[in-house]
Amino acid sequence: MNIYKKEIKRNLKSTLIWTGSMSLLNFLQMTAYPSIVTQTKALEQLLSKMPKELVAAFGMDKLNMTEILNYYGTKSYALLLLLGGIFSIILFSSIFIKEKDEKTIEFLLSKPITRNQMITEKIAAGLTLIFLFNVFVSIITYISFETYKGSEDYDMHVFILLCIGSFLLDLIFGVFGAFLSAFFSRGKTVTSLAIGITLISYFIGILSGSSDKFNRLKYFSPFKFVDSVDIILNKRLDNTLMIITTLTVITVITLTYVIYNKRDIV
Amino acid sequence: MQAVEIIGLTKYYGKARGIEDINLSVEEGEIFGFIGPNGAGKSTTIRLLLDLIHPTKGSAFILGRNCFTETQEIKKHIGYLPSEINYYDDMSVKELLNFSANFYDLDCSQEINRLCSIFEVDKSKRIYSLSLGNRKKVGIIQALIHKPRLLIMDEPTSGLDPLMIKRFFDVLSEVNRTKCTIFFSSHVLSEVQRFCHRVGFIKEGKIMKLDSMENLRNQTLRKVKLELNSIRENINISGARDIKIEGKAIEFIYTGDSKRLITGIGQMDIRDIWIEEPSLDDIFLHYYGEV
Repeated sequence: MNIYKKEIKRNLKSTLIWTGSMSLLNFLQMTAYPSIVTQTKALEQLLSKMPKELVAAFGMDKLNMTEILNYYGTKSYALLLLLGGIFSIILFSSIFIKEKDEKTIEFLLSKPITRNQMITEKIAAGLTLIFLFNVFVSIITYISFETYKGSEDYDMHVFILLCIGSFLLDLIFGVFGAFLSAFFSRGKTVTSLAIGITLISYFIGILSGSSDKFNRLKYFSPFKFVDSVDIILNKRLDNTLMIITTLTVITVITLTYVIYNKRDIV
Repeated sequence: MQAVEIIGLTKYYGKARGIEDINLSVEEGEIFGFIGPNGAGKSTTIRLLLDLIHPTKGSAFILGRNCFTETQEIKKHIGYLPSEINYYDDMSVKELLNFSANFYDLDCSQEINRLCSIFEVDKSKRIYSLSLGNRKKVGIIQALIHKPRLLIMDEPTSGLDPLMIKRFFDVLSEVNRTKCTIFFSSHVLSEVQRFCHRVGFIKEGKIMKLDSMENLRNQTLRKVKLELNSIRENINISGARDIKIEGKAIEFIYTGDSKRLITGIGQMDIRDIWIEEPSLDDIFLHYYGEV
């Protein structure tokens, strides 16, 4: 518990900043919703002028923007996934890489703990923080929904699925962050790679949605595992993609343990 | 029981040599000095003992336990001071020491207070604001608070001022009296000479010599300085080496029979003579050649 507590304490401030900014962003997006509803026609006209591929890429062709969940799913949620993913991968990688970068790992491993214990406590700390991040952002988003929904009601079940989806995405990127830090030993390398990987998979996700030709690519982008359009239309998380998510997380965590144990601490 | 036992330990970093076939044992209660120039393999050996790096070949035991499979149990009983002290910058000294103490199922608060006052460490300061010497002191305290049975210290005195070095060795003598084994590496020879029971010389990854401090000093290795009345080109004493001639002054290291030395010197036209116990520096030079 010693390392777990230390990591929570060390990373609480940055988590709070991310949580605060993300909540604010979500809330602000929602304040625009009532005026969007009144301007639907203008918006539909605008969308019809845009290239079909572009509209499809952001999933705006399938959903009616005048429903609050659809509005959220295509706008704020997409941003929440991207920024949450970046936050999570950076958080996890820094929890691990900082020890190597600041060379505190030598001190830490001279204490009576195994490397596995250390990894477990650190992953647990990261999970706790991304869980708090998601819970808090979800609560604020819920409040914004209740404030701006107007007379229409929305499906709470779908809303919760979206929240779970965001957490799952953060989980995937989180374990990738831990893995990167097990594999590489320099903080700079890891941070650039982490952000790079997140952005690339984001664009693969966008590409896969832009036309049927690229549809298969969705298996390579975690952003598509928890795609808002799918969740809102089908009212459930896709089974195949959930299995892929689970396998990915388990594999990457296992590799993290294996590599961390094999590596020399230099 | 042996505090440290190393058998045929070898470590290669890829193709680069770390250490080769190190054999070494340290008795419980002993103070062992590990001496060698930078890059000789001192830190590599210590890191292997701590299971920070994995061996290419060989085995190592601490207090009878296998370093590579029972490291967690071993670490309950050892205190480690790395050569470079790196701690969590944003912690205060107090936080760091408490964090460190929490790994052991012991109440270390008394020991923390006692050691902080001996080494004059301000517990409220943040780690990032500490000077190198003060960080080192925190490192020393951190290694001692849980009353370990074995202390492993990598270059412990670098960065400390002479007063603190004295206090440091006082504290070490005190813990050594309670049967704590001390294994430390250094290239500062005088402190090893004063403090250690036994030394091991390491060079280019290999142990060159293992000996008791007493043996080393008594091994009729003598430093001889002569001042002559006339200039000589060379001297003819078998057993003399590292001969330096500067005008009428001659200096050399002698190993061998003392009588032969006296006879040899007796044949020269000497004005003055000094025969000294060699410093460890000389011994070092003797094993390493040019340093």
